[in-house]
Amino acid sequence: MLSDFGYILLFILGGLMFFSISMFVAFLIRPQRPNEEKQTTYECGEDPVGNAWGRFNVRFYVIALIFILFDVEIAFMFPWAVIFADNQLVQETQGTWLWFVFGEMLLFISILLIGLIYAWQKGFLNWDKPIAKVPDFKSKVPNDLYEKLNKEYS
Amino acid sequence: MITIIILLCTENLKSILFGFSASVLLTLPLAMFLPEVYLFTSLFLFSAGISVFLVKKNAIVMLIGIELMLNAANLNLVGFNQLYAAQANGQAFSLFVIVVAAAEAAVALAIILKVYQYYNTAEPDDINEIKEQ
Amino acid sequence: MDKTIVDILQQAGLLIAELWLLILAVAVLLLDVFSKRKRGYLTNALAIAGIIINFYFIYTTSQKYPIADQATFYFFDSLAVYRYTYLFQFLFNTSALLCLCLGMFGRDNKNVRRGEYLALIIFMLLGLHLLAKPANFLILYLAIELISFSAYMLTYFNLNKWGTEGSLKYLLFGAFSTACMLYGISLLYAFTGSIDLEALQQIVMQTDQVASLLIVGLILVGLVFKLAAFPFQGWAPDTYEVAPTPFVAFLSVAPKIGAVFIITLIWQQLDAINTSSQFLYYLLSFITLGSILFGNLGALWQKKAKRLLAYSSIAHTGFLLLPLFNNSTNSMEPLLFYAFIFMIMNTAAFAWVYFMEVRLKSDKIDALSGCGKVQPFVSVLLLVIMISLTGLPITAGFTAKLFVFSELWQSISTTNTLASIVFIAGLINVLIALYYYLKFPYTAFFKNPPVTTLPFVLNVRQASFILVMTIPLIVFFFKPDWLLVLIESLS
Repeated sequence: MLSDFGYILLFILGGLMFFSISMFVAFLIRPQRPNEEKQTTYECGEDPVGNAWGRFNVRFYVIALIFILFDVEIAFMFPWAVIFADNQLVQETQGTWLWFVFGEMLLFISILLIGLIYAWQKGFLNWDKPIAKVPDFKSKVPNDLYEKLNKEYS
Repeated sequence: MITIIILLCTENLKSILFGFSASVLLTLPLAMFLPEVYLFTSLFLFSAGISVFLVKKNAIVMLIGIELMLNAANLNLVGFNQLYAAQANGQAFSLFVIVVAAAEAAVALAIILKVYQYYNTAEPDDINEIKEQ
Repeated sequence: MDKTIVDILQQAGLLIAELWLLILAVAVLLLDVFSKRKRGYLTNALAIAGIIINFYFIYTTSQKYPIADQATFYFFDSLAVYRYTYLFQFLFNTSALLCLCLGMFGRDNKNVRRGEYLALIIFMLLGLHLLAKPANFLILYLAIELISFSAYMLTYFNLNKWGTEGSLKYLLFGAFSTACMLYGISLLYAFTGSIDLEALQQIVMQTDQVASLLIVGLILVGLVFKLAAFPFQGWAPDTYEVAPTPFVAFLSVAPKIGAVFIITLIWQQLDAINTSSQFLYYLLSFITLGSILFGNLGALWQKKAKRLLAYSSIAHTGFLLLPLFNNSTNSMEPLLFYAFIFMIMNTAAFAWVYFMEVRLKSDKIDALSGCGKVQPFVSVLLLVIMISLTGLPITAGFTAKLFVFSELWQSISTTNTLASIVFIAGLINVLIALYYYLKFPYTAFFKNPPVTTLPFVLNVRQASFILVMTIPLIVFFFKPDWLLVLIESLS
């Protein structure tokens, strides 16, 4: 029988395995076309070094808000997982306990899922890109004149 | 007297001092009959939360104050569950409080984002247009 | 342990109305997301139909889990059926129904038929249903938070600049007061080891006076805020002014009555022991007198109808709390009578304001001028509603105030000297209220509109809605026993 800290060691090992296996599989599957933007720490383009008072893009908040709700849902799943496979209860009720508890959790998750469907359908998960405005102004000064000037004075 | 203290506490250091002194004042009468450490810590957290809520001007920082107050309650619930270990009432309650606090943060941040879009500021003191409407 | 499942499955029927509301809210939300029609009448009709069906579910629950004089406990003492549980659920349901019906008016006001708006109203109703049967503070806390969060979001549903401001301020102070309440609950748990409502009795008996008063005070902070009663009334006028009017008709009635119910529950717990009761009566008279005075004086100078009604509803909160002075067991009946009449007349008044907004895009009282000459019959209905809000005869508002004050009179004659001050001050305030309520009919009948604008008129559907709301106000004056029979049959 494991001691209490043995369980923690198991969790650490499990966590490491989960992490390394998934990274390895991703390494096998993904296409590899690195460029400078992709090599940065956060692929979304946020600079990891700099002033802590800098502002984040508003669009991150919407994703973060949705993430919070699904993240906190886990808080209810831990106590649920403890009693889900309680041997004594399962034997006393000839297995109906499992179905009952499973159904409860299914109901809970499906309500959250409907929230996700709602957010998805309303388009809150879309990363709407700003459309760059191309000015339709036609200058009489040709472009190569600027380049000539640049060359002359640089 | 209290208003003078609040007025003095516009700077960071002073607001922390205010929170601490308020917590000591609140704690003394209670500590006489239930000398538990959790109570001191949670009272400190609670009064720090109140002072942050009262002193700070930005809505998001005020929300942080409210979260501190909720966490003070959580600390009480979890800590004192040790005394009444037969049932896990307090711990279960604190789980619900955590989830409700997350929902509250989500709602509040969504509203603050909207406010920022319209008013270009998130300080409730500067937002006063309902009466002039 | 085998009993656990059997118990839960047997008692699951108690929550059938709540489950139905949950399904309804989800259905409304999904219908709105996937339907092509953008006017929203379809989703609103679905919500109304669902709430009408919910009356049936409340009825079946009340048959299956009958009420008794004492509370019966379910779900391992976390829910309880009190004597007035179903009656309050009936009241909340009616109020939500009226709110949604109001949403059917106003072709341009699409915001009050959006799926999110309707779903949030239904979630709020769900919270109120739970608020009618808490047996411990966990359920109470969750119900209050469900109501509050929905209310914070609903305040913004006019989708304009001022909406965000009102919503933000409501949220900050609301969250603060519920955090105080939660801290009180956690202290209660720390001292007694129990989160049941009965733990309040224990705390008052066992521990020191200071600690128990601190705990009861902190818990009352959250409730009094929901009630919009005296020390915590500041949010009400701003919030009411910016929120969509049909929602305000709901917000100013249902959560308020729910909070009064919870305060009576707590009162019964505390009143069982007579130790600190003298202090509690001081506190109660502070809250009631404060809200009556503040509401009435604040309303005197208002020019906008919605703000005026917000202050008036603060004053009505004080009157709702008056029966608490009498600690005999049957003191709920005057309260319930008052709650019913308050719901009808307040909804009627806000309906009137909403129709003004739909037509004129403004709620200035001056806009009513000339209305009495063009539509005398409809304006008489306005007069009846306002007289009822004041509490004068030939309307049910008078009967309600009569019951409340006679209850107070009994408590004066038995013991309480404090109640006599409240009694006299309350009567004086009825006279003050007469001034600002009569502003509405006065403007309608005696003021001439500016030549350039046409006077405000209601169309036939709007007028008939007002008429339907006004008839009970007169009928229950002559036959108050009809309403009392209804209250009796449900409790």
